[in-house]
Amino acid sequence: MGLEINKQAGVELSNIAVSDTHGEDSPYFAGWKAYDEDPYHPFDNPSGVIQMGLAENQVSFDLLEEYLEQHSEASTWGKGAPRFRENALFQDYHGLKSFRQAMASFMEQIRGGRAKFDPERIVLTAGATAANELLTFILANPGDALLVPTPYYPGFDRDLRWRTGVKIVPIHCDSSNNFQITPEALESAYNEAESMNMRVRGILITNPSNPLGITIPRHVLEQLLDFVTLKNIHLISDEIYSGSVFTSPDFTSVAEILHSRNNVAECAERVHIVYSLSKDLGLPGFRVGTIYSYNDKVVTTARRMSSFTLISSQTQHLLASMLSNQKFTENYINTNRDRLRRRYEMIVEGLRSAGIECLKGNAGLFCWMNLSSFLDEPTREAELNLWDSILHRVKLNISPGSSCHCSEPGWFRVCFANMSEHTLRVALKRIQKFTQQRRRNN
Amino acid sequence: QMGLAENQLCFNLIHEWLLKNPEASICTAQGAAEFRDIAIFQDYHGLAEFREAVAKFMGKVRRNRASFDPDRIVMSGGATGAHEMIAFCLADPGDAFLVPTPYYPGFDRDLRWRTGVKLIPVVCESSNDYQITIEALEAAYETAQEADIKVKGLLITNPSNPLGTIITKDTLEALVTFANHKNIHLVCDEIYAATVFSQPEFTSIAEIIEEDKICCNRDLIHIIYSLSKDMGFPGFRVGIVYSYNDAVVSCARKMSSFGLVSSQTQYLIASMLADDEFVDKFIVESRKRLAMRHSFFTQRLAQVGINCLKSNAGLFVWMDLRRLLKEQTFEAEMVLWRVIINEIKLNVSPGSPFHCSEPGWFRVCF
Repeated sequence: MGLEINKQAGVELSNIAVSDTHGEDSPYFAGWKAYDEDPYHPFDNPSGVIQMGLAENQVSFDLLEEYLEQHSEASTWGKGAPRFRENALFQDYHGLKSFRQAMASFMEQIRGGRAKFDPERIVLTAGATAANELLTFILANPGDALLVPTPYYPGFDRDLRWRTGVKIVPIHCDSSNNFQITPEALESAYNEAESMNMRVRGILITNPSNPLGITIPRHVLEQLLDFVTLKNIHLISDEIYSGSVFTSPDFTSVAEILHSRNNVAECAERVHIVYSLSKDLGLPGFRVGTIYSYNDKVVTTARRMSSFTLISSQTQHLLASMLSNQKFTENYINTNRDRLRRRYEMIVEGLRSAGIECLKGNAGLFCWMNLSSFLDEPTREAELNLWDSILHRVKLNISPGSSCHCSEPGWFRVCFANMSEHTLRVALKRIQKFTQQRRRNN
Repeated sequence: QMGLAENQLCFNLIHEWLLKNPEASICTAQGAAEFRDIAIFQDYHGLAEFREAVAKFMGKVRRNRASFDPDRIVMSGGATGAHEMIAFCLADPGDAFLVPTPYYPGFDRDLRWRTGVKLIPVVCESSNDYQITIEALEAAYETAQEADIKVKGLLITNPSNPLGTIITKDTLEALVTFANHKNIHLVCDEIYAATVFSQPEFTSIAEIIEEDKICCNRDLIHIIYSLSKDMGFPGFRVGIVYSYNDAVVSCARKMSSFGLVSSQTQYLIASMLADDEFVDKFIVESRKRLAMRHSFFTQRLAQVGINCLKSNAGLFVWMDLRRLLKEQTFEAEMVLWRVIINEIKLNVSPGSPFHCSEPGWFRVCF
């Protein structure tokens, strides 16, 4: 056993290591902890916490399982040793060509063929988490700012800021116009950054939006493109939920409107799309993210940087096969949409009968619920108190709007696709009971 | 292509195992029941079975003279991701790591590019078979002090790339003492640990810190590992950071979100490395085949008068072509290198990208 010397002041770690910019102290993550400690199970733990804070898509697994059953060659390496060997050795940061082609074709299908994607512009990363961080490293320097519309996915605080040293300046959106991004809000955020001596490098939008569950209208996308061109900055469009648009209005990707603009060359070099299979295909464990950039230099640099976060070749091989089977993907996309719509209708109706309204949503794996009438006072503290009682007494983990940087207290994100229908019904019953009790008490 | 350090000698053993264990793949009929749970598993702790299997494997590779705690295993995007991650955890932009030369050229990117950290060479020379001396360490440390650069750690690769040699026990003890004395981190890249095919035996830093005579602050010690070389799976991107420092484990784990190992791959590896019979056989057979390759290659080179540094590990040899240089300069080394590529049609790696201080040495993979 080695002798341990008296630890002096303790050896230093980096500033990044000791900072809390990893963001894990937020209630967004604290709720997960409560769930982990007391997880609901229909038979083993029926009074446990139901997880409604995790935006996962579990409604269409059977389709994937069926595919695998019918296409065993996709997942194994066939009878020849050379195929396994080839795959295990493949670490080229360009990624498997067949996989990139399959991703491009899948992304086209999701957009109903209204945009074309060139496989040579696809850069692969281990998840959208890595993609967003990587783009930030490429487009901005420490101290620079990215503008992000609120409310936004809590993970951005870590992904965009932690190791990059880049700052987020919020573009405030509120319920008065259904949280749409306005030119005034854009201008205001830009000026705010400037007044703090931060150089604005770009805008990052999530379309469809997390946590709002709505698609961004075409005219707003056009306004965004006008704005970024005028200010000579970048536009990152995180389209991770693009395959989860289940009702009208239709999804418009920034890719679709790019080519209809008359200043396409000037515009395109500042546009970058992030995508992943974690939500649409429900495969977060496989770590499949992509960056699609119209800027050659960004593609080249991103590709080099992806060395730190390549996708397992085993996984690329499996998915290349699956995603290039157009019959399968067509059926998957349509079936998935239908099932998400049914889930959404179920939860909205269930919430309505509990006296709760949601923002009218058409996409995503969650709804944006308005509990402002249940707050003791219209403050963040009151929102967190309400959140706490819902977590510990109603035993539902939902995400408070403040963890998404929403400027209006009382909104909550509730996920509906990460559980069985039965569990969702149990959750809705609990909510109905909760609101009944609140009304009686008042 | 003799410039790529890949291990392709034991794929038949792996293939045989895969055919016998279809349940290890979540996509076969036998394994499909696990598909859903694995596909949604994105916890940055990693699958427990995966960490346990990797910890066990690391111990076996070190002939069980050291044991590894699965809870200290953190995943990363290959060793490439692991190196960058540890640099982000231990150093600030402008800080430096000391690195013995010659070293793997990838370090220049992995440790410096996005982190802003500097690398300061600890010059090692052929005159003493490139052993790391205290004088060289102190000289490098002084260079940093004089330039007002804060040294945060010492990075060693053991077994060495590109030398293919192991660091002796005495030297390792001296390095641990040096690190403790200066209160700097010691990062040990042991990515070639299972490629040690003959004497002298490999000693891991994990063994050194357990010795009674060594005074060591364990918070300084970190190991980088991967399955890319020992198993021959570079495509699967299985990188590991193993730290004895709790704060580093905690921070690295959070950072691993940027480079998690695919759960599909974790599941396969967990299965494979838990198979004791297979692993034991693999380690022995791999060593045997590497030894044969190495011996065949070096003997034939010797027959035509080409000497290599005496080595017992790695997937390459460090070839001495100094007497073929027109003059002892790096320009002459490049000229010779182009002849080898263009006329002899062999891609070998010249010593200068490895920051070798003496021209004329080449790394050749076998």
